[in-house]
Amino acid sequence: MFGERKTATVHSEFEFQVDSRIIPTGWNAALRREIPVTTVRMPLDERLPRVVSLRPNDVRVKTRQYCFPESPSWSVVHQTNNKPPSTATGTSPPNRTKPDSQTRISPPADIVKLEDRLYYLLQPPLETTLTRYELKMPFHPFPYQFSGVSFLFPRHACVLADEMGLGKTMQAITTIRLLLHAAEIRSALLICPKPLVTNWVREFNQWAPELPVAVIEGDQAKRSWQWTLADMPVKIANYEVVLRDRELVNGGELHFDLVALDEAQRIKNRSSTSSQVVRSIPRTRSWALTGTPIENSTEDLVGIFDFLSEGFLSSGMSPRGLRDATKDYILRRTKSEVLTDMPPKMFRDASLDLTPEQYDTYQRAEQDGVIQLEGMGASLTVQHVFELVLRLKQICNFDPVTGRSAKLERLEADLEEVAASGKKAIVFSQWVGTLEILAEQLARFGPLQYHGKIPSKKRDGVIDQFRNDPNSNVILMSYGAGSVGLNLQFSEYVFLFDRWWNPAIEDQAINRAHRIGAAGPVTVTRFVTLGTIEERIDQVLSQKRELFESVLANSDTPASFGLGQDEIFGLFNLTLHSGKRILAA
Amino acid sequence: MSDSKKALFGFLTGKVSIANAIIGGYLVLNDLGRPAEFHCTEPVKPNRAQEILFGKTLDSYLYGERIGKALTDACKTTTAIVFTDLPAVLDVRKLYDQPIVFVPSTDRPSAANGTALEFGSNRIFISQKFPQDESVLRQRWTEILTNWDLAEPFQRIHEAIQETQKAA
Repeated sequence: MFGERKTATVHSEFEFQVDSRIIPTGWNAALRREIPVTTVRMPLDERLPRVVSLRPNDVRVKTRQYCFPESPSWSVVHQTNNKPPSTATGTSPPNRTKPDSQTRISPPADIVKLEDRLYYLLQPPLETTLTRYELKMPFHPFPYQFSGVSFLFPRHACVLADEMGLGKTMQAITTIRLLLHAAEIRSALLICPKPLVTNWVREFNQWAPELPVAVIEGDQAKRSWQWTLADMPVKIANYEVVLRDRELVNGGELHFDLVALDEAQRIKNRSSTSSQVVRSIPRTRSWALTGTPIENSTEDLVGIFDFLSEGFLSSGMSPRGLRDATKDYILRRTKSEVLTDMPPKMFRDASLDLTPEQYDTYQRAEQDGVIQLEGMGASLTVQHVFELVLRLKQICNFDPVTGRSAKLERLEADLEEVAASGKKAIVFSQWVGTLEILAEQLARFGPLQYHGKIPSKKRDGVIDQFRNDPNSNVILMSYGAGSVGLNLQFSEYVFLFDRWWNPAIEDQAINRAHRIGAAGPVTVTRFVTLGTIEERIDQVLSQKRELFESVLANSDTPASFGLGQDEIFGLFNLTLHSGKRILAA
Repeated sequence: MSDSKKALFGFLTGKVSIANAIIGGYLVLNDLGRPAEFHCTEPVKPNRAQEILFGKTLDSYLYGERIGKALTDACKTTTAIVFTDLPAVLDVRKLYDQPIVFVPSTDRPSAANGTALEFGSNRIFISQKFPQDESVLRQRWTEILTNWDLAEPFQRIHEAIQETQKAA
């Protein structure tokens, strides 16, 4: 073991003797002499050691500051809303500090000043703002709707182009509400088609009950007074009223912080009076709401943008150029993108043979008509062709001699099933006359009518009855009156008794039923009579629909989406003589 | 309730940017949560000597004494509370006139040497050396402390700092 080994120490002793004597060398005397001491002065080095000082407190901090104007919030008397807010499924959201989602506002690309960008970037999430302002919502909005509000909020020029049924109205109202409460705006003018005025009023009452809303209507004197009401932050006017009061709205005395156009495709034609008057309204912000920013051609979009920012787009821009230029100004979402759990929309094309009576009448009319058109030579215009198309389409609906109708027979059979299951159906036609005949023939289904002959004041009552009366299983609507703005999501069946020229209009009609809140799958039946002009138009419409989808899908697109004059002539294999291209509306 | 009206609240944080420099941000919100002022610093980076000499106190010195103080001093208005997600700021509470409230966030360790308080679902910390802050908070700011998502404004500051960096 190494630890136990010890080193032995040996001690020895012995005597050590040295002999010493003084030898007379003379050195002893020298030793006794005193040593002379002399001093030498040597200067010391007075330099101190070098000290290195570290000053740790020298972190210099430079600051930059951005101050934001504190506008006085618009004060309103909050109306008591006895209904608790609820989600779409009917359950009340919990009162918690952290909302389920936080939707932030992003500054638009055209805001370049850093202070302005920070202003929007530093705003609280929309959900927080609604809570802080104690603004209640009747239903909990979908996340994409909050995104829409955050898109609209900072923008002075934009297009909300969501597909029909996604709630453009609610998004616009909520944004207007927030802008007013935040004192970002103090006056808003909403312009919409006349049939939709009451719908907008109803929606404002639902989504922003505390906001006073004035509808511009009545005689000239009343309207003049209404236009100048200062304590009405929201004014609603239809396009016709705006045209009628053009001297007042364009006169320079009125100014709106926001002008929003519903169904903005109404001003797609830049040379129209509507477009010119609306574009001349003094305003700070311009919004366009439309599910169909392009109905026929890219020119439609150029026309709408002339309202937003005149000259921003120009005719002849390529589709790609248009997309690049407008991408920060247009927000479009489709149901398939954002409502993945929405009930499906099922198309069921009913291809029908004309009744023998209809067929005979149709054949004679077409042959005679074509012969007549060919005989017109150079004087033939697209209007002449249109007239023949319309006459033939009417025969496809009803035989004018016997009143027989293959479509009616099929419709009656389908409605029997609809009524038996307690469901509701909407039937669309482009002719009031057709709808009136249908009303007589379908009396046992309690049909209601909603078209140009029904006075505006009675239309809300018609919708209410359709919604609530269990004996009214069907409503007969014209494309013109019923294709936009109405919420008929309790209907599960849509019948297109005859077809419109433009697939976008048909989509609008279908989406009265297929929209948020739809109770179940929506079945769309499109009637087409075989071997007739309807079948030929259907082929053209199918092609147009494909073209539209290619635009919305941001892929390469052809230059035009319209039904050209040559295509219209082509319906009858007629020769196009000359003339510029004409688009069917 | 009346106190919270017209009152302003400061939110102080820092963000490490390129090359380990720190950019401080201070957001002043009104009672509705809307921005009234925003201040940020230019990038601040301690040198090696400071890192050695300050040692463990570097954070409280840098964030609390230098960056935080510079930002709050630059503020044109007086805030009722300074919220921060920087625990080091609590250490220098004595430098500030108003209560400092540390709001722990998920991405920052809550190593605050403070007194924990709870207001609803919000868990916050105040300086142990200033126990009187608790009574001020409880008497005057319970509604704010309970109802606000106190961590949310720091996200805004971080995005704003990024925006200023992009513009720089």
